[in-house]
Amino acid sequence: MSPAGRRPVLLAAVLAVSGCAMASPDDCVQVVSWADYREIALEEEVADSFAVRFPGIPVCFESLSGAGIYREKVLTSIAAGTPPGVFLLDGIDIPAFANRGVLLDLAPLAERAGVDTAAFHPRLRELFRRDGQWIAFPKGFTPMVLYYNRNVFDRAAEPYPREGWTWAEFVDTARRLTSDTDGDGVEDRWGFGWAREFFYVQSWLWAGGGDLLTADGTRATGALDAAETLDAIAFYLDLATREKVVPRIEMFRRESSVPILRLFSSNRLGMFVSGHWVVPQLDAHEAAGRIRYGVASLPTRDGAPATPVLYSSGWAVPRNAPHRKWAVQVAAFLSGETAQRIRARAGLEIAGLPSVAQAIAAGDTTGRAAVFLANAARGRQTWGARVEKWREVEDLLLDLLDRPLVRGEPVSAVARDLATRIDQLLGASR
Amino acid sequence: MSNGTSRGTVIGFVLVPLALALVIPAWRIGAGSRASETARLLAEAESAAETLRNTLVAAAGADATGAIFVTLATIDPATSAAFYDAAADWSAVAMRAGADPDRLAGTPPPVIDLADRALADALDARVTARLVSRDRAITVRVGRRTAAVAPVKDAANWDIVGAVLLVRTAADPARVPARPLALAAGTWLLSAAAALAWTRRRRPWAMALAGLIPAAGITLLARWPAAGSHGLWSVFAFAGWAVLATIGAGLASIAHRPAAFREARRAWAFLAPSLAHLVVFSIGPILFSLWLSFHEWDLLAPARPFVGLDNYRELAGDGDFLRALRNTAVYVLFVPIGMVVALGLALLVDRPLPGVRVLRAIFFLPYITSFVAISLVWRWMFQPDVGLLNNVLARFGIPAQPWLSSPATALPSLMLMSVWMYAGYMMVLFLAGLQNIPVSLHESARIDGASAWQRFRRITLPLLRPTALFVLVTMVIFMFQVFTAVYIMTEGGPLHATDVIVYHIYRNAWEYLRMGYASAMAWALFAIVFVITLVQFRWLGARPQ
Repeated sequence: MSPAGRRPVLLAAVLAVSGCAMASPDDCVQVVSWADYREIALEEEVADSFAVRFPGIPVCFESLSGAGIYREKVLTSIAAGTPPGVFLLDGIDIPAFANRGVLLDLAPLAERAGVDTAAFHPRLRELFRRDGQWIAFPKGFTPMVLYYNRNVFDRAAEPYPREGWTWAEFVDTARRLTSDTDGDGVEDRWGFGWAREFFYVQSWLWAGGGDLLTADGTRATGALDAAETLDAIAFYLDLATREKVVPRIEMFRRESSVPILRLFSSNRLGMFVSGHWVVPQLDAHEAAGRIRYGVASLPTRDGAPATPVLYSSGWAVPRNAPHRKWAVQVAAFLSGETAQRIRARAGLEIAGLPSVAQAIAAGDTTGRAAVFLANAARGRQTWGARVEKWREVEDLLLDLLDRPLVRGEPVSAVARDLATRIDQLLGASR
Repeated sequence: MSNGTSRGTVIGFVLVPLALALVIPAWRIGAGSRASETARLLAEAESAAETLRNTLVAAAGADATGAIFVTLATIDPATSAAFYDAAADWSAVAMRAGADPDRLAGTPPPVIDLADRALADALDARVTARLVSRDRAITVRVGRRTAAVAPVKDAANWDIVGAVLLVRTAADPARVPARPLALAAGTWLLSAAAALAWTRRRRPWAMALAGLIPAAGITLLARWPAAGSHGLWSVFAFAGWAVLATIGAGLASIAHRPAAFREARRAWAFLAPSLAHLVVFSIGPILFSLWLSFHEWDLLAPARPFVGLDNYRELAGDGDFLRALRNTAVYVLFVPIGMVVALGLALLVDRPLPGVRVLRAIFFLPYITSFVAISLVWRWMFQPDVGLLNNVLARFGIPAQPWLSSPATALPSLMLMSVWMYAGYMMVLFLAGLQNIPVSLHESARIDGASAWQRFRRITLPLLRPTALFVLVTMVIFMFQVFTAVYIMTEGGPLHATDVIVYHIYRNAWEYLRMGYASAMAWALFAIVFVITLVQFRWLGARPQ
């Protein structure tokens, strides 16, 4: 055959091979999440369990790590009419998705899919049940808690944080932990890992008796500019500006880029606030003998039990998903006991089923799981789970600390200005 | 020959494409209107299905699971009552008989034929198969007839226990869509008359009419009731036609010169594939964003209302947008600085030095390196404590700089990085310009006693002017669209000091889901860059004397 004659054959072969390689989206129930490399292995294990239980329903998992990319892809696929069968819904995206009616109401399907919705943690039931509809089956959640480095505390001969800690005690401890350990005149160990994002700050406002929005979630004036809130912001800022018990802020991106975990794992940081998701990394450092760490509730102004902010996620099914019945069955399995038991091994969150979470806590010898559960029981969902324009509000709130910190503006003036702008945003028609 | 060729060209490039640009959208709009009528019928079917399900549950006194029925009906008030009664009776019988869904799924379901037995038989198998695999409403086409199939679900809205087939045999005259095709045909005829008149008389009014009439027709089509997204497609089709018609008019005007005509026709034939690519992947999306900018459009919400100029009005008073605009304008100032650096580098590597080719490649490398990788490396270099730059400064006793951590230095830091990143690219352009300057000019100047500075000032710079204009214009256009560095390095901070327009557009579109508003910003950016480019051409584009 001449070269010219071979070309169509080759072309046909290439097309045939490419055609074979392309899987049709109708072939399986597509499950997308932002699972990182640790979770992917566990999700595959969950998929294997599902295949045993439901051999007739093919499932394909896809991880789109990177929060921004993940959200864009899910939004685009839903808008384009080619949505995934099941996707992981972040708590702060609930209003945006639910208010636009793009999620399937799982309430009438839960029982058929074998989901006992009453078995989920009450905080998750409050979150995912809206106006009688279930907009997602819960995956898991976490309260924000205080992590402390036992090595740093022991070297400074400081007692560990305790329940009922006050802010005054917290600051005293942070001061004593902050020091120049190598005598070069520059501090190289700090009491607290300070973060600018409101994501981390929200719990501190509540710990001081303040809040961001009024109880109905419609206004910031009257809450953000209230005396208790201003005191809480001032207290938090003072940690960085007056007390100087925190490492220097290196960048002012939306995320601070303060290398908190790096400092903590090298025993140069006494405490920081975060969610359950850092546990796997800290456990790895502890297993390697680099650190010993503990978990405590956040201190509050007067020592009353803290109300930490909760961050949650759940498995949602788009209204226009293909194979909806299968998709609901998959979502149900992913939030079920088998999947939660498998996933709990990663330690990234508290299981959404208290039975699973308590079973894990019972086997925990460090006492950390009990602290997480106690805080979860007292916690409150983030405002983001109620406010549709939360991402815009959160962007504005970056200024809450940045303007006093960078420009030295008074906290009260900044808070009043932001409260007015948030009111406009929440009250705006578009 | 020339009149015939001219007429043939107008027909081939103007009238045939216009027919397609009008008829295809009109046909789609008509179909869309019919689809909305089908959707209405489907909603009616779902309501009927709900009634049936309730009847079934009431009749059986238990869960309806197990009964599968397929019913044919017409949207005809006279027969609908009988249809409901018969369907309910049959289903109740099926259920009482303990029908097993698994068994029934594999066998033809019972059919109540109220309208058309042959049609029922034809629909039977395929509907059953599709309902088993999908649990939502589907539309089945048999011959020219369309049937909307509404699944009937059990009380828990979980299993399909039956289906209602709604065969549209007679549409409601009040709801029959008017005739978009008639409008398209009328538009085409009028336009054809105008175009042919132009080929005979060459009157400008005839040419204007040939363009205005389709524009008016397309506008009416685009605003057709229930046109939906097909209205938008008619605008795209019109844009495609406008491109072809312009080419056709150009060709027709040279039809009296056969050689030029043939050459132009051949040239356009070669250009056609890339032109088609441009229309589909560039012009189409651009027009779509223009359309978006007049709508409130957030990707997810089904309602996408037309808001006219509201988005543009809001822009004018949006302090955040104006700040982003100012930041971008300041950022673009690095271009002239970079040009000076690039010219210096070009003069350096324009000499016959040993290893000069390697040097050129090294200078050019940043431009062909991934911008993301460069941004990540520079982010590390800018770190206040452990970054390379402050470490170097410290060796010379210079205090550490905040670089990206201060609003005062963040944008200049990005500009510094950009100079490094783009200097090599600009250098290559200047180098090409330098090597185009005749050596004889420099030699004669040298013989006349001109110093090196005088030769540079009087010969090199003036002759580099076209190159400099090209570099300036393209770089300014490019830099107004800066995004990657900001996205990776600063995310607009600190205190919005590096919040540039494209990043602002991105946040509005993808974080706040305000696609319409973001599109308006994109068009505002286009207008600004367009004006700046015009000014550059006007002020700097004059030929050197």
